[in-house]
Amino acid sequence: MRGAALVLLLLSGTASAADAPWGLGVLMSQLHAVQHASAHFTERKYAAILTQPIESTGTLSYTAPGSLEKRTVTPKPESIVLRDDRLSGTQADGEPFDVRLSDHPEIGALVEGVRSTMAGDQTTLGRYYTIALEGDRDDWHLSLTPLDRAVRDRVDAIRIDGSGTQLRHIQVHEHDGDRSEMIVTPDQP
Amino acid sequence: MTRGRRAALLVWLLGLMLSIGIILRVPFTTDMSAFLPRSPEPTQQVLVDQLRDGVASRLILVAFEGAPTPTLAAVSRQVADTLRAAPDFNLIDNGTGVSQADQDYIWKNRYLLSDGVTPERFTAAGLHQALEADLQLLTSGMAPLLKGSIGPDPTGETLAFVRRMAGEAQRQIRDGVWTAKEGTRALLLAQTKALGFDIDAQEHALNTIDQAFAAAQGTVEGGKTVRLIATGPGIFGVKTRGQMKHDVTLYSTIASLTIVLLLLAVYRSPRMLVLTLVPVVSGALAGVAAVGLWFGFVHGITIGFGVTLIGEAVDYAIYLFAQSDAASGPEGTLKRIWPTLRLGVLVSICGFAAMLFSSFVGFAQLGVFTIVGLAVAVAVTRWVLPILVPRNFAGLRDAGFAPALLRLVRAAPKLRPALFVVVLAALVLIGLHPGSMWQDELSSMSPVSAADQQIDRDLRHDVGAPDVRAIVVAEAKDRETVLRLSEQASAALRPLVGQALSGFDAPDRYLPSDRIQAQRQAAIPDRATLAANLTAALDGLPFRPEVFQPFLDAAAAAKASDALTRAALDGTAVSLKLDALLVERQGQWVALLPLRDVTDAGRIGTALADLPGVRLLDLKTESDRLLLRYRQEALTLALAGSGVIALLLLVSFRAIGPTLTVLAPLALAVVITLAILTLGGRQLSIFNLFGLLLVIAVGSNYCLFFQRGRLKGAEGERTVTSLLLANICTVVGFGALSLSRIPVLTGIGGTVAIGTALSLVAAAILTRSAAS
Repeated sequence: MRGAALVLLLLSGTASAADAPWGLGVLMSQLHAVQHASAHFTERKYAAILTQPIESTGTLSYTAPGSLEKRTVTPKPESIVLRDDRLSGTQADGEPFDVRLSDHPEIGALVEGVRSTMAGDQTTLGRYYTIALEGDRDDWHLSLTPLDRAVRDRVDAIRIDGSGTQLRHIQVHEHDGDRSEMIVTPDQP
Repeated sequence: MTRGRRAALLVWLLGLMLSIGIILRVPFTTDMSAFLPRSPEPTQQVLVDQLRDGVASRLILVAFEGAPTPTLAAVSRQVADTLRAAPDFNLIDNGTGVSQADQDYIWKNRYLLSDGVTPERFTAAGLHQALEADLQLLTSGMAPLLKGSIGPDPTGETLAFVRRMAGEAQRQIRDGVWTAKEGTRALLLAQTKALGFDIDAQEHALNTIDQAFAAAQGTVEGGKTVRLIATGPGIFGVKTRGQMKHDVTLYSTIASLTIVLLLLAVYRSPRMLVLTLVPVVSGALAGVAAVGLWFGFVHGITIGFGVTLIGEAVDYAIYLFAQSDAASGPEGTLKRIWPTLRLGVLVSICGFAAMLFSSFVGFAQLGVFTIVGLAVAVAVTRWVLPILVPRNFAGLRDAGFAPALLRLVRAAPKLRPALFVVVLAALVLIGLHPGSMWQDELSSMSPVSAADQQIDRDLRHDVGAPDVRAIVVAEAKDRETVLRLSEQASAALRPLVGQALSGFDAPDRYLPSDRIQAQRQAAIPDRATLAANLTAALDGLPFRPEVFQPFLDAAAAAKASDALTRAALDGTAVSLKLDALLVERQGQWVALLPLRDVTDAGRIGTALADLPGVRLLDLKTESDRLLLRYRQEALTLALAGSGVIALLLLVSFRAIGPTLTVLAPLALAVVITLAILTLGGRQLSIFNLFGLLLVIAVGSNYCLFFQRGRLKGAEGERTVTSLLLANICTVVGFGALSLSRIPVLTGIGGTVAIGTALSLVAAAILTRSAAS
């Protein structure tokens, strides 16, 4: 009896989310419902100190609620794991690192853009960025502007394009004109 | 008035004036390190000195608690801003980022500071490897934060240096400030300009902190619930001084008032009361003056014990007045009791003299103070008091309880079996004492309360001050040599990190030796070679070559620069670390390398064995050793004092029997006192030991009077009344001190109060029948 009530409640919840006019709230709650997502990525870095952009490829893997792993395959294998408050991995010189986002808010402002979007965590996103959403359910554009002044001196905006519950294109626009573009190809479940 | 009397009065008055003159000029201190002993070994001396006036002594640790992290952070920021503008502090650190001065120091001197600077680093191959790492960094998500240093510092020396420092510190930054305990506590570290033992300045600094905090509480929303905790050597000094002033004033007032009221009740004459206090006051003044002359300063605690002198010296006048009768008058009484009194004072002085040899300056002062005080008090009783006593003085009105008291005393020997049972029980209790009889923590001698010590440990742990248990100490004649030793020790320790210890800090990290700096300069190739190596290294990498112009400039500048000195660190937080780890004292340089989480001291000791002048100190072992030494010293002194007293009695009696009659009650009293002090598994401190010595010194007087006095008739009544009165005064004087929370006062006060009362009882029970 209680189980049936719960199911009803859940159904009505989903129904109301589907019925509501599409917007940030709906997008977030849809993203929030995703338990697991994995994708391949190709990232291009454009920087003033480089003569040509460098390209890297690899995979992204997300598990609700707070786990995100970026595994680079080319040009050099490397892995960074974001799990709840901890960001860990191996640095370029081979030194392992393990930092807490709460100890380094500026790092949080760089990584939460993607993680909190995937998690549909509007509260956390709102803590780090001003959020602007354009487009519709099948072709949306999320623009995240850092709130922290020190971070805004480095990063103008993070732009995420997506469709449904899938992220397709992630760009980081740095203040000095450097930028990175990541094309995300979701793995079919 | 005879010429002799006039001379006595004149000498007394001159002496009083001289004493007062000296006292007005002598500086008084409350520095508790007077009760921290002079240390026998240079290394230990360095540690004691570090505690006393090293950089560590100037640190105040502040914590904010009791509100959500953002509120704590806001309070922390506002207090830090206020304190940075205050004149009391050199440095305020609440974690709001590495200061500009520190960034500049590290950035400017990266090629002299980083141990990554080796010749291989600047070859084409070395540079290529570093540049590949830079490229990887550029593609990482952290690029916006870190890429700025790629051009000027492609080999990443700054990052490596900062990372190693951060690895040591392990700070937890929340809401932009330094926190601990998951953000429930915000931390702030303040270094005062004044030394730790400059208690006035420390008190001022503490007030500044309190005011800044009160202001922040008012302006920050929700700030009212925030609590401030402050700790540190200076704070302890301030607190201890306040506590000591409070205790000494309160308890000596209580004791003095009680004694005055008691005497007033017995004498029923204000004039006699004043006269009773004349020897005490004269003795106290002379004692303080003597201490001032001998040591050049007088410690507050010495004055605090002045009240105990009341308990002892007041006895002399009591013996005189209480035993006087109309027939013989004071002069006659003096003639009668003088031999006993003289012997009693001599015995007391012998006991107190043992303290002169103590390593604790405080106890040595106490010895001088008491000896001079007692000698003067008894002299004033003997030669001055009779002059001041009204001619018609006929002794005290006989106390109503005196006959009953005398009956009690005469009946006391019947209690001998009971006394032996009690002593036997005491011996059994002592024998059954679980574990060690002795307090084995040096901290038990500290005047700082256990709760405050706990807070201090807790905060120290939070700020990541190495919880110093193990420390490597290097000693040399000059800075360069000691820094080289530190570098060698660091090199020996580095391979053991993760195996025998989890980490360490070292002064050479913040200021390398000139030799190492020169080696690093030599490792940098000349500009043309470096530029050629760089060009070769860039082959196949997509970096624009001109990006690295700042690197070539910085490397060339570092190669040509003068060696870094301590002056280069002025105003940085790094200098705080350095000054705590690199110490000069009387031409001797000492480097301290605190170790973290040592798991295998043996391996560390072996690794350092080949380095002369470098050794591993286990501070726990060291302080245990120190405590053991003090205890042995106190035991030796107590035994020596008792031995000298026994010898003195033997010489003056020229017979073993009477000597034993005096000593036996004391021995029994000491045994019972020991049993009481250690009741319920409690442990003895060194202060208890000194207290027992005083029990013998003071209690022997009772035994002497019991043994030599005639305990019959009116004279007997007066004798027992005077003894009871004298003992009550002693118990009140010392007993009041035992109420204090300062270990040295409690330890001595309690022991003497219990011990002397027991001595009187034991003397009453034992002596009479032995003498008759």
